[in-house]
Amino acid sequence: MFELLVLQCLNKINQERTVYNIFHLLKGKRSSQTLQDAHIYKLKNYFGIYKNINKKTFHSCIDRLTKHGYLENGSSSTCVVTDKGKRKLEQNRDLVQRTPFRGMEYSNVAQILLERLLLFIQTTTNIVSGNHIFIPITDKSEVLRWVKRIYRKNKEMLPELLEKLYSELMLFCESLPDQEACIFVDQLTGYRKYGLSKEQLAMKYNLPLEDVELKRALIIHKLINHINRVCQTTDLLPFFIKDLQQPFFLTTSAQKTYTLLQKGFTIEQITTLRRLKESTVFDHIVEIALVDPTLPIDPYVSKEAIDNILEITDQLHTIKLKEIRQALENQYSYFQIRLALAIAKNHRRRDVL
Amino acid sequence: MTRDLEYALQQYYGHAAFREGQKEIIEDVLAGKDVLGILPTGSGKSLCYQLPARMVDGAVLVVSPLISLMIDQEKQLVATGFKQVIAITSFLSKSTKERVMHQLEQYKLIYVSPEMLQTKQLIDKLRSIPISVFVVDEAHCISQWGHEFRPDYLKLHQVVETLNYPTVLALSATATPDVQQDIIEQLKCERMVRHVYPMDRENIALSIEKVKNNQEKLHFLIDTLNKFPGPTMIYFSSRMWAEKVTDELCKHLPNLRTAYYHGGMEQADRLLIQQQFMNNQLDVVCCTSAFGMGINKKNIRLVVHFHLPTQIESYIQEIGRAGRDGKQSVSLLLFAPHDVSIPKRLIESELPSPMMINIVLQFLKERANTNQMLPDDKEVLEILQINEIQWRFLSYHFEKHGMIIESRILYNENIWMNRITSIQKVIKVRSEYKEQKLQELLQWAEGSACRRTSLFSFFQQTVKKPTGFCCDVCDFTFKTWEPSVVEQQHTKSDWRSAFKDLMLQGEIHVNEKPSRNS
Repeated sequence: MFELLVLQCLNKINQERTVYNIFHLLKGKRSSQTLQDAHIYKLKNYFGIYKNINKKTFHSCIDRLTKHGYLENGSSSTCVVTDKGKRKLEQNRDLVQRTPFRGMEYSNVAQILLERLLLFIQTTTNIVSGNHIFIPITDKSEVLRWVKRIYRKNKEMLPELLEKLYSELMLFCESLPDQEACIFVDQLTGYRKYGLSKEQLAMKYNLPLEDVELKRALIIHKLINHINRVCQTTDLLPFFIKDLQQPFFLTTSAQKTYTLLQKGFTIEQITTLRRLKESTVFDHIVEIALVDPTLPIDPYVSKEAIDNILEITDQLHTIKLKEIRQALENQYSYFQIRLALAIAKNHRRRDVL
Repeated sequence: MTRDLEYALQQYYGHAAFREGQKEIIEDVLAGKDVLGILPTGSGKSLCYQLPARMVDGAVLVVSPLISLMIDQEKQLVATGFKQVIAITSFLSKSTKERVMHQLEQYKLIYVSPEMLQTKQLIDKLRSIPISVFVVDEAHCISQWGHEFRPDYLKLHQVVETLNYPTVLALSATATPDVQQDIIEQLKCERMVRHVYPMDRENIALSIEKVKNNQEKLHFLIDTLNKFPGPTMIYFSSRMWAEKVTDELCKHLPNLRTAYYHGGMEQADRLLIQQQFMNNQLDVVCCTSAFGMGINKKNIRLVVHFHLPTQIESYIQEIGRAGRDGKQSVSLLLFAPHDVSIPKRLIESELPSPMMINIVLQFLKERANTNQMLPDDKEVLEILQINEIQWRFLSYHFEKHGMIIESRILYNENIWMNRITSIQKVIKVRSEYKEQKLQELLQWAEGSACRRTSLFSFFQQTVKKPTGFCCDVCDFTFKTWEPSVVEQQHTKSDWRSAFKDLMLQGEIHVNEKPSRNS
């Protein structure tokens, strides 16, 4: 699964970005560049689905794909998907095209939801069994605090909560393929039973470690979907993510810039106020434009400029900034071109809607 | 006071009596005497400062070389309800660290790494709160001749002085008489009271199995574990071997629950394996030396060394994890003719090679010439592709010789040439010393004398009388050993019933629910 997914991503960026951009994408690096790429190349479902990935794992995957003839090295850290690779993707259409991942929307919530759920189950099952001494399976203080708060509020009705959670999760598990339901249950820690580690899951289900990582992310994405679509407002599960979902997905720094923009500050003022480089604020604006179609952009790029840029983009069949800029005789800045591309994405999105 | 101590032990730990040495050490510490305590692994060293932490007025500061150990102890204490404990490590997030520093006086037990103690901010903060006891855990790290020398330990006497001489408690499980003397001298605590207890554990039988190669080691393991499926730890020198043997054991002994553990795994997964083992969900853990620190599983019946360690001290420490419940346990060393090459490579990797020194010098020269400071340790490791132990060694000596002062690089070609020559001499002496330590272990393994008497002869004159078997030379064979076997919990294989059980929705659990009024 992991290899196919990397192959699919590389296919989409079509040599216009380096392999490292895919690495950052999977890791969910919250930089303007990564977020923009995710939107532009329609890879946002894969954003942040493998947060623990490291360079070594990623490189050995690229090496394996190359060895099997699915990839060839391109110039300066890019990779070309070979015909054999494309056929491989075609054969696995179901997996790669209708991907059930929702990285951009869920990856941030997913990790915390999982940890809250794991710790909540560990805590309640232990306490209901009369055991108050156990080592929590996560040491993230935000998760510990959250579970502690819930526990304090509901001390008197833990068995009822547990029963409710059980029936809600049972309903969710029944909607999963058998293997995913097994993995979901195996990773849980209860009273006198610690959950299986990634390495143990990999061994038990005869999967590569990378696939276990992805399957676990996938299950949680499905769970969030389930919570949003199937769960009732009186259910317990929605409570686990209620405070986590944000309207837009922005980097923290871009969020600050966004607030200032909404208050009417200019780029110059923001640069001085926040002691940032101008280019950083530019990055923020592009990032905001990608997620908020209502952002007024006339101050930065004219309607005419946008038309020109998009026309050239269509003609050249590229979204490489350098080529676009040269074709337009350098009359527009990179910032303006990026902004125009961001707007185009949003329009397309609006058309679809 | 004796009565009070026993009362406190009962109240906080639920134990009726102290183990050998604990009470004597705690009494002296509470009386304000500096103490050197040498207690065997598994005898409850940490109680010697954890109990005083609940009884003295100020805080107890513990210097420990292992972050994982500190975090383990912190977690265990918090789990049992002692919340005034904190491990100040590089793992703390910036905001948490700030919060902790702000309210440091709230803690009764503060763990720090020796490196952390070199930061001015922390020292200033520590000076502002009352520190009653200064604990040096794993004190052998202070000695050049200890098996895990940590240069930063040499600066500890300055910290004691800065903190206005709190009571000092130095603890170790493995220190030869020379190392003990060195600890006292380096800490500049001449009047230290020594509490030295014999390191041999009378319920652990020692055995060595000589084989031809790794394949035979594996066969022997499979045979042995087939007959004795009790809680077992198997030590390896490499992560790869730990994984590989886990694979083989799972294949050949599918009823045995085996998993591996090493430093390459994520924190969360490591915790799961550790707790599964503690909880008897696992029978066998194949691990590197990263495992075991702070593990107080009582019923480990067998500790195997698949590879030879680098010296006797770590061997003794590792086999000491067996049989903490006092029942008959066994340590097994699998030994093949060419095994010595692995610890040799390990020793080499612990000291910088001449080529590496050149690379480092080149790097420092460039930084100095362009007026740049030394980057932080993490960055140095990444740029120079040098391991942590090597860099710790080098940076200590660079600082000692005034070549680097507070991240400023004071480059001078001629002076540096001289200094480098003397550093290289130190490296030579140290690698010869380590080589000699390895030889000691080899001689012991190849010898034909009683394993027990000969192993501990480096540390003490006599050994206690074993409670059961002694060693393979005297009386032990696997044929005569009959360990008690832990009953396996049966886990259900289909996820529906497994989930139902876990969430306590099965019928069995209904009766077990304690009433709320109890």
